[in-house]
Amino acid sequence: MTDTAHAVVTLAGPMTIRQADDVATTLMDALTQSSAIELDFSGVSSVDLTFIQLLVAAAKSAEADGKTLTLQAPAPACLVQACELVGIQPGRWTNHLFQGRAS
Amino acid sequence: MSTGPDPIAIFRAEADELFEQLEAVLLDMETDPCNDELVNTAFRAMHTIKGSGAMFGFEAVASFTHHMENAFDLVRKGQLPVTQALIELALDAKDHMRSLIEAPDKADMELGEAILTRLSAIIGAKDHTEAKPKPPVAVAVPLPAKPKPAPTHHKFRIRFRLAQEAMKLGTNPLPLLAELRGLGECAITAHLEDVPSLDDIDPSACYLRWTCELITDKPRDAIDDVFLFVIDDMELEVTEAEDVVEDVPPEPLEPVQQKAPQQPAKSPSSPPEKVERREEPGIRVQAERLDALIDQVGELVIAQARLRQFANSFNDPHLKSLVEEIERLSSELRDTTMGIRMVPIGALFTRFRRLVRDLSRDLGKEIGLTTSGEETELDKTVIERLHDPLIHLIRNSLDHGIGMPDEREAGGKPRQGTIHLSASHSGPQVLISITDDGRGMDPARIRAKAEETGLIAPGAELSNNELFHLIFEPGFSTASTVTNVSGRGVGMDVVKRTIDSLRGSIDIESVMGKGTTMTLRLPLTLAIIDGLLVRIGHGRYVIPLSAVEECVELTTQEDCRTHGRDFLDIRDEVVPFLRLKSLFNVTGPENHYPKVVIVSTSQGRVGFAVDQIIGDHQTVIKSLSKIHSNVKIFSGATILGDGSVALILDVPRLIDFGQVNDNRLKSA
Repeated sequence: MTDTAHAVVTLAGPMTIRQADDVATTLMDALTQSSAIELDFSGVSSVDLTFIQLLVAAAKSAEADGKTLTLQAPAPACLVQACELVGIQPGRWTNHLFQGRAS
Repeated sequence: MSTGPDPIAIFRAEADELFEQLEAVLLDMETDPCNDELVNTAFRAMHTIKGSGAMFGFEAVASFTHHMENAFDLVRKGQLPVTQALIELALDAKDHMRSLIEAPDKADMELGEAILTRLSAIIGAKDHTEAKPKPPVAVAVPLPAKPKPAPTHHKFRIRFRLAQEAMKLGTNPLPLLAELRGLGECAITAHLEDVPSLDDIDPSACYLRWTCELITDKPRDAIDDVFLFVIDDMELEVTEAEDVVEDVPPEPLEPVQQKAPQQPAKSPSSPPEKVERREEPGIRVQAERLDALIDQVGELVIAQARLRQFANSFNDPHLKSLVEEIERLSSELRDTTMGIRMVPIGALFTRFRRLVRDLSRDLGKEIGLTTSGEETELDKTVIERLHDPLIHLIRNSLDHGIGMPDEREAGGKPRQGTIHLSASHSGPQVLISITDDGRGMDPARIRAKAEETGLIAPGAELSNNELFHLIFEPGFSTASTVTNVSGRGVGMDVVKRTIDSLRGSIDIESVMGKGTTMTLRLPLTLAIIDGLLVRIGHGRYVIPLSAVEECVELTTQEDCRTHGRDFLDIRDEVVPFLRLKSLFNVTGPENHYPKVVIVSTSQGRVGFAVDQIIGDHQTVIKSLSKIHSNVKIFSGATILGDGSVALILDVPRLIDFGQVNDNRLKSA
């Protein structure tokens, strides 16, 4: 794996079940083309469980391929709240969801 | 989106059910404003409508319902009292939500805005009255608050997993989790092991699994309630760990994976158990498929009848026993298939509560609606077609039957009038009656009106019952003023026509000053009836067995004694009869021993003279072709065992036809 590709995935707007298919494709593309992906969710306005699941799935894929996923900007409030609500704790597949948080 | 039936249609059907539920609950709330259960049900109904509305692209519904849901959430939390104004508003909002779903383009957005403005006025107003929760603004007297048992805290371990499809079907797990957290002190852990890698993921399926420790003062039912709408296909395991006394601070939460192996020693009443399904899981089937099934069963019954006839001509015991076996099976199959189409009438009754409430308000009357026999089942088609006639009958009772409160009080009756709807089985028929405790029908007034409009000849001899039935004549109305409820004289004849087309009949009982009871008698099903097979000339005919009372022989002496006036003396009662042979212009050998089948109708007993009575016959009704659509006296045809066709007599029409014919003969 060459470190040529260093991609930034920027997502904005609502990230719900309606966008889930598109988000999955976007993340897939980024993971096939690049080895270090930075995520920018600062424009994300709302999330639901599908989005969180996709991020977990992306982390699993990245782990399997030895790639990295990092959250660039602080996670938007809606994502933080959703993670709390769902009961997600920082861990093997969720660390990227907690990066950049104040606490 | 999944294939199969149009998901939007399914959503509409489900929303319809929710709206009916919501309306019923709101109306109940009017009389019982302090019932938390009702508030919760209303809230859940709105919640589901909002969620699935958003899922299926009805954004307007979702955002509108959101406001209503919020309002009811406040009610749930005791921050907003249940008032008449709120219920009124919720009912209007429900209507608006329904129109948003049924015809999103035609819905009146201004109306929606107006409702929301009223809503914010109500919510705003509560800030001033907040000091007293649930002040007695409500019209109905609030019940004294139920003394709540001293709160005991329970500790539950909950493990659950939603159905994979849940999110595709419109469930959003986040509000569920929020609701669960709302129950008390709650530690939820999501388990991510089952989430596949990005290559294999179905983005809209649900892969997470949760465990949760909940310390709450609510009963475990509250947990089930959270998952009420997703309980099908989900895994839910609730274990009560142990009772936690209130003052004891909650213990530090243990690692969740550790399953609670110990039996709860202190609370044997709530052992760990798998949540039971609330109701038998059902499936939705398109009505056309059911109709096709009924058709096929009908064909099978016919084929089986032909087989029986064929087998009878052989003397083969094996064949006979086989035929009997098939006969038994096909009759069971028929009963089962019929059963599928049966739905309880309760849903229909519920729809009228709103009608009675709104109309009585419009008319300035105080009227309550009571119902009984909601569980009585009727063919789905019959129920659908009953809706309009029942509306007419109820409106009639509301408008003409029950008087103004003052008038009622003067007559020594309670100010509030009552309309009672009931349904019950009576043999192969279902009786639906509408009873009011109003003025009753005035035979003299009906007679005067009928004479005035030329419906009957002046001074014609009519029994009260016959007079009452005149109200079903087209254009007949005794109301001196036309209201927007009734009085135009259209409607009641529609009632009669609809009931006739359902092969039913209407009985009227009315006592002046006491009230009126209208009873609809309907067959259980439209597709198959038991009939009496008779022969007239060379043709065979079927008389619906439900109408038949008895069969008598028309002896020559009897015939001569009445001098051909076609009356029979049956146990000292004079019964007119029709000679179907001459009525149908059937030629054939003269029968010296005709039989008379006596049928009962709303107008009394009438006989039909036929050549021979063959026996009972299970009749699969086939409708007549368009060419024969103007033949009114037959309601259909059936195929007999030998493959020939028999016509089914439409008893009420046949009697009308006989009377017309008779009059023509007399005047000629």
